[in-house]
Amino acid sequence: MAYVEWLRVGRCLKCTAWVLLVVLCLIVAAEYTFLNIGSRSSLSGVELHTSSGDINASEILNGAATTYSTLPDGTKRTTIVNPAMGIRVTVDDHGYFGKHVEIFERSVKRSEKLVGIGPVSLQRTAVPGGSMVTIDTNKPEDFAYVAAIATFIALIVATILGAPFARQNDGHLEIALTNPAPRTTLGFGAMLADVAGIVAAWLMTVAMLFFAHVAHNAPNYTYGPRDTEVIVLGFAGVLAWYAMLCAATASLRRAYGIVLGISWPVALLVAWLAKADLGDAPMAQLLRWGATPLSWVDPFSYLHFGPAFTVNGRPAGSLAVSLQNELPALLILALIYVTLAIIQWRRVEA
Amino acid sequence: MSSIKISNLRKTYGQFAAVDGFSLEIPAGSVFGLLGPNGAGKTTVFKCMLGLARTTSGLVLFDGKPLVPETFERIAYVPERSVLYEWMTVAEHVEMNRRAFKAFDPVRALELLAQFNVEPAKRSRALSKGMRTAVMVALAFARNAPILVLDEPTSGLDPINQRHVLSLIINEAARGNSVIFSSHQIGQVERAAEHIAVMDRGRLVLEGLVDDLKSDRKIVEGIFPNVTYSLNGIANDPRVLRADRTERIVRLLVRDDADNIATMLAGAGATGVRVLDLNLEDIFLFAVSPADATADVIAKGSS
Repeated sequence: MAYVEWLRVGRCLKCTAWVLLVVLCLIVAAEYTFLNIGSRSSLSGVELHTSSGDINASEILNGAATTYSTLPDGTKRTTIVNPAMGIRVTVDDHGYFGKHVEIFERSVKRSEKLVGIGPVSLQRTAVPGGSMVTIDTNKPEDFAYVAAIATFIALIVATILGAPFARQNDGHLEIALTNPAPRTTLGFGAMLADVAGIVAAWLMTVAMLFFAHVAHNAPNYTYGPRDTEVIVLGFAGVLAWYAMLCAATASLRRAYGIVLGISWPVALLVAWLAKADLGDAPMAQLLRWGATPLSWVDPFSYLHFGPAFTVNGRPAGSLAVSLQNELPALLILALIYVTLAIIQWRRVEA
Repeated sequence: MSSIKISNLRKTYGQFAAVDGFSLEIPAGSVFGLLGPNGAGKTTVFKCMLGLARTTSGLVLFDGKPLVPETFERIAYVPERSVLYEWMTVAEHVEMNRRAFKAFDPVRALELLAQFNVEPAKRSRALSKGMRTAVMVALAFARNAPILVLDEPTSGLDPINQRHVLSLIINEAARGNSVIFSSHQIGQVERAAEHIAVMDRGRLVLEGLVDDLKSDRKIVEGIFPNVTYSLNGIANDPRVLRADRTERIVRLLVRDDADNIATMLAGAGATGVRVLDLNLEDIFLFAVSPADATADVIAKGSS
């Protein structure tokens, strides 16, 4: 059974590799076209909030004076000045080492903000006479960002592989049950193969993101203790998620596809309902009352990637990471679900 | 040499008893044919024997020991329907068996597949029903297992390959291995099996050596001049196992002393009385149902 599961994992990873390859090509193509921040074409996709209202960034080119120069270190500088709009844009192109863009807006009072998404950093600061938006395309990238995306892909692969027992039950149980190994051993062997496949998918995604990055910019990663938290929490979450799907499908024969299909929307809905502020209406209370206990056994309720997406240097949103609470919860859930899956599968008859 | 002992096996699904008090002893090194009409419980017996289904009650022993996973090193099983993975190639199934069973001989498996004209590179989904059966048979016979449990191993096969499977079964017995198989092809069972058991509605209704069953029993057949006649109590004779009537024709299944019964039948007014040898089909049909759909079984005591 483990051999069959390895074959199945191999097929799944082959599909994953093709998808990642296509994504890699799309990312690289995007990096050299509309994501090439500072280029004329990319400006058309940027909205600026100026004192004269929201405008498309490409509009600042109308009536603007554009100058090109090369700095002593080889940096190519483009300066766009639009006196009528009170906007000054400076694009320093360091080639393979990224771009630094500064957009000065005259007399605009806006809150200061720093947003980091992977290697891209956007910062708005107040400066005398206006505000300054600074964009860096190759800032040191927190590895947590890569890990978070890889974990997302690993969750998808876990969902695809998440019914090893039901697939066996669906017309092949005689093969497993006439194997000279105990059912428990067979069950663990199959799950081990799947987990190895999930880890491989995670690594493949990290590799894809790395290649996507280095195709356009020099590698510039940072790694710290919080990155470890994201990786560990991510793996525990994927493990718990996979184990939950195994337990939910272990005694099924055919309907497992439906379970896998609805698992994401249901789990996300439960996690959201348990935390959302729905007000005090009776229906809202009822929803929260129903969703809260379900969220305790929903791995998605514990899974988040705060450090990967930062605002003002802090994890995005209100999801502060607490490894002390969430990691044990996910590991306990994984253990319970694995046990339930094995117990159920041991009872299945051909 | 391995023997199988099944004692008082019972398997129920709700109120329905698929197998009810089934007991059987399969001697080591024998070819055992399990016969029965559709729904008789043959497949359920195999599943309970092999632990694929939980028994409601009863006991199955292999060489005097209960089944444990390790026992499957010595048992090869061909289920009645294909359990091959559609997306896997035949060669991958061979490899799966090689990894699972110590005694599995992949070279022998490939030889057998070649004899069945199955290409190892093909995926299961590309195989016909018969080819899938052939793959499962080839994998089972390459296991070098002392016990083979084959649930309709010729299902879907063409006559040439059916004959080939029978030869394989007979060869296994010649090597001292035990084969228990079910089939609806009674001719095949008659050719290959030394012992048979007949099941009907979950119960064992007949069991014994094929030769004994055939030599012990005869059919006494007679024709009466009109449809109104009396058997003069012949049907109640302990030597008469069964009496069937189709209009003017009476067929009696008789154990021992068939000539005497024939004389009694002639004395009751029957003409053209003759004593016929049984074939396995007769034995089976007498065991499970009326000889044909138009016949009435004469209840004991009503003649």
